[in-house]
Amino acid sequence: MSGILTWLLILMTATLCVGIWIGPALIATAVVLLELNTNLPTHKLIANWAFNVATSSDIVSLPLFILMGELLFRTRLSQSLFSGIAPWMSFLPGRLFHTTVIGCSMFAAISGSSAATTQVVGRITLTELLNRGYDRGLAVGSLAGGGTLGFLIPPSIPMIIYAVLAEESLLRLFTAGFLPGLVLAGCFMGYMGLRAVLNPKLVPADDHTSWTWGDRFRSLIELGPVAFLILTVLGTMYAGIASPSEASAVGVLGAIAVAAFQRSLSWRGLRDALLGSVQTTCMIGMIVIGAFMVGTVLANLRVPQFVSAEITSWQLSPFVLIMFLMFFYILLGTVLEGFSMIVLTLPIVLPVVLAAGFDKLWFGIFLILTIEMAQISPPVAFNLFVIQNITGDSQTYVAWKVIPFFLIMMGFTALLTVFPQLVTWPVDFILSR
Amino acid sequence: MPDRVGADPAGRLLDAVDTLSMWGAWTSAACILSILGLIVAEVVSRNFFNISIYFAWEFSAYLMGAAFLMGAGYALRAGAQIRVNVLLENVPRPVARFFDLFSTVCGIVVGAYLTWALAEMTWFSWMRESRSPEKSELLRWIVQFPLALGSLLFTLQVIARLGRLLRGEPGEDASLRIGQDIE
Repeated sequence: MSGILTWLLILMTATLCVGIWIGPALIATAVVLLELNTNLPTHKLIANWAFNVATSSDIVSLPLFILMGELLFRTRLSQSLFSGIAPWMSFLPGRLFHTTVIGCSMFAAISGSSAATTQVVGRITLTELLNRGYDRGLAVGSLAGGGTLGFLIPPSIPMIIYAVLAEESLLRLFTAGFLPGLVLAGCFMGYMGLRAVLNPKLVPADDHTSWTWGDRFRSLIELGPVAFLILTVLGTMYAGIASPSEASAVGVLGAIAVAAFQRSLSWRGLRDALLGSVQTTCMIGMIVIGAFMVGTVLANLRVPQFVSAEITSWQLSPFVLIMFLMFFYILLGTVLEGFSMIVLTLPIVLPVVLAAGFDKLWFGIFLILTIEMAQISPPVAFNLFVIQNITGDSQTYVAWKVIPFFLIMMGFTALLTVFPQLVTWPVDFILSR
Repeated sequence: MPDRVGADPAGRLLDAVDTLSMWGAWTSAACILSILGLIVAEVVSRNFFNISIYFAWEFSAYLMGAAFLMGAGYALRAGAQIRVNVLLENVPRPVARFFDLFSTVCGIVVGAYLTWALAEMTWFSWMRESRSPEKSELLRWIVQFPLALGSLLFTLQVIARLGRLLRGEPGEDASLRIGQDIE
């Protein structure tokens, strides 16, 4: 068994390090493992697995949520979010700082992508904050932290991948992400408020804003398109009108409607959105095919059971095991992007975690949190790249400013381990009705 | 994708592969739009007329399989296929070039293997006239064929990539990269 593990490690490390694309690298790993360890007709199995997973109705929502994201990216929601949220922030310590996190939370409820959330919210909000004299470091850090909520607050593309690979219900996963997402957003806001109270210089004395109550209520109209989209995606899902996959289709129609209403979608934009979706869909498709193959080969060779028994023999407490995994994923996240982390580790790690008594649903949320951290841990950190593109700051500067938010996420992950009810309770409460 | 009017035959061949990849991309886009149409039709039909379109999910899944692979070559050309770049970006240029060439050759082997496997599966399904176990009882080769074809397009694009690298041209066409990263 240790021979298989050695081969697995050598194959994965070698193929990934020399830069073979992740999808083909996974397929190659599955083929070599099968050829070396079984007498089965490898190519027949590979073809069958590829066909079965690529035509699995569980992931039909994937291309549609991607298309929805591509469409939303080309709307004017960026401006709408800032104009709608900003007038209400004057009551909070730190004032407009909170527009980043609240904007990200709202956009996360209609988008499944973390980088898109950072980009869409950041391109107006960050510029406005910096122009008004808000502290650059805190503004940049809050956007980097807030952007990661794109994964945790449903819909979420990594959750779709986890759902299919871990055979978990997508609706349950989506539901489980809500409360942790909102609490994490609250933690970010609490931190910003505290920083603003302790050091008032972070917030400009005059940020050129004064809003009446009339302005505030009028500003809510700006949030109309976002509210409409939340209703089309999450509303149809929880009203029982559409399944999560169907909600993605309704969401695409909603995004087209919003884009048409805002007059922000040209034929050229539509073409780009479609081809952009093809690029992302095909990239994920090939990775999912490869990940499914590796997962199935490892399961057939009983590797997860072996690793699970081995780790169980260490007699770690469940908390220590999860903290160990958290640091492992944080380390992995510095060189891998989050999505690859899920597909590369899940076949081995999930059985270990389940054997330790953790819930599959809970682990899904834990994994999403760790890949959120991967999004902001350099050198491979997509959200930081997005912010660099907006502000022109160096990666070192952005990475430095994101540290407090990273630590909050680590602390929050530990909190979820101690209080798993934060994940499971909303699912039991909402879906049992 | 750039056309090399009047260029050398090898260059025209590479452009031809790009054109094929582009057709694959548009087929993939058409599949995604068809999935959208089918699912919207199912939601409307079920909620307003209380009739479920029994083949909507099955056909959507087949279309997704086709979408995944028909555009894979185009995604590679656009630089959308993810790879771990940390080492490639931090080693001397000749070493990075060697790794890039090696990765591309590995990509060709994997693509060719997958194409062979999927083509053989499609061939046997055609020979045996095997049908889908679902209610539609669709002939399986019809839905397996686009996956084999998509895999072939991917393989051709990786071969073309090797050709470009050997000619000293960039492997990716940055002007095609329009997708927002999933992350």
